[in-house]
Amino acid sequence: MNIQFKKGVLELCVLSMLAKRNCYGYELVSEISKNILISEGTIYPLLKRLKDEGYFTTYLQESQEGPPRKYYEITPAGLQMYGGLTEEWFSFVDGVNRIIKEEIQDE
Amino acid sequence: MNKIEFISKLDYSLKGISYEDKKEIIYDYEEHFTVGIEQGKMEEDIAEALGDPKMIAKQFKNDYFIQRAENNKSAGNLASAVFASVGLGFLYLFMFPFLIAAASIVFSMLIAAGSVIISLVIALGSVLISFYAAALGLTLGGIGIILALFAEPYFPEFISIDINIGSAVFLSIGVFCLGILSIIGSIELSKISYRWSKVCLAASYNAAKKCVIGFYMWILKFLKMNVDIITRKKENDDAK
Repeated sequence: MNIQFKKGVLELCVLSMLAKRNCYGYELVSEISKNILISEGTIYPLLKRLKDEGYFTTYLQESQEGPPRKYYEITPAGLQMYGGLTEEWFSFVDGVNRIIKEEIQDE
Repeated sequence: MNKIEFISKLDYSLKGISYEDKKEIIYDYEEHFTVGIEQGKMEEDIAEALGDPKMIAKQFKNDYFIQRAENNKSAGNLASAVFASVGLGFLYLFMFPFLIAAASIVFSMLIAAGSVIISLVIALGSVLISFYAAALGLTLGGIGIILALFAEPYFPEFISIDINIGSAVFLSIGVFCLGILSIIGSIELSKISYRWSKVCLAASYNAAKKCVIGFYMWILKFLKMNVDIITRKKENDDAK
């Protein structure tokens, strides 16, 4: 898959998960890699970049097992970005679907 | 590769980025291993799924240097971003001459435009100075005629005025007034020129600044684009 495309989609996946609830890194990584084939390590640079750009913040929270975990929390800027990307994604998918369906009817 | 090997490889490959950022990055991967082990996974499997620490470090480094060059615009930071990207693969080395050529073209054009503007300003200044000289000449000439009228009887061998005194006085007053008017005119002209030059110079300065910043941003964009190409190439190579 085109890396630029994949990058945008991964951003959308991360923002979408965080729009629902706060997660820690491992949760985000394992949920995404369960569904999309990627090197898991490449999600952390993405998380750090989005955090540096102000789309979410982090905080530490104790866990029952082991050391505290770093949770990611979406910011208003992140929610706005999420809204924009979702809209773009659906209009893109709709467009692709329309083309594919026309192709099938033509055959 | 176990956890310690992975972390130390990552740590080593992250050299060049700030201590704070490095600490944060290492913490994230340590936490990832910890949680993975809690869930009953083997260190080796976790490392395998994470991918090559060197590639991961390159991604962090590029984001880091490009971000630094974006936040803090300086030639040094841009150079670090360029060199960090050179480290990514040799696509860059071959693109390097183009980058230098583009930079040279942009800067030589800026210097040429700057010289044209500066010489125009100097030319305008010279014209104004000659106006002042002419005006001053007229004024002094007016005074000179009066002085000559008084001096004529004393230095007949040096001064001879062929017109009658009345005309000479009128001529002198006329020339003197013309001189004063010219001086006033020159001052007004200088004020206007000063105002216009200031506007023009400020506009050129802003245009040049925009040009340099535009070029700077263009290089950063170019770096980001190339990083994507190289990352993709590496990922494809890894997949093979």
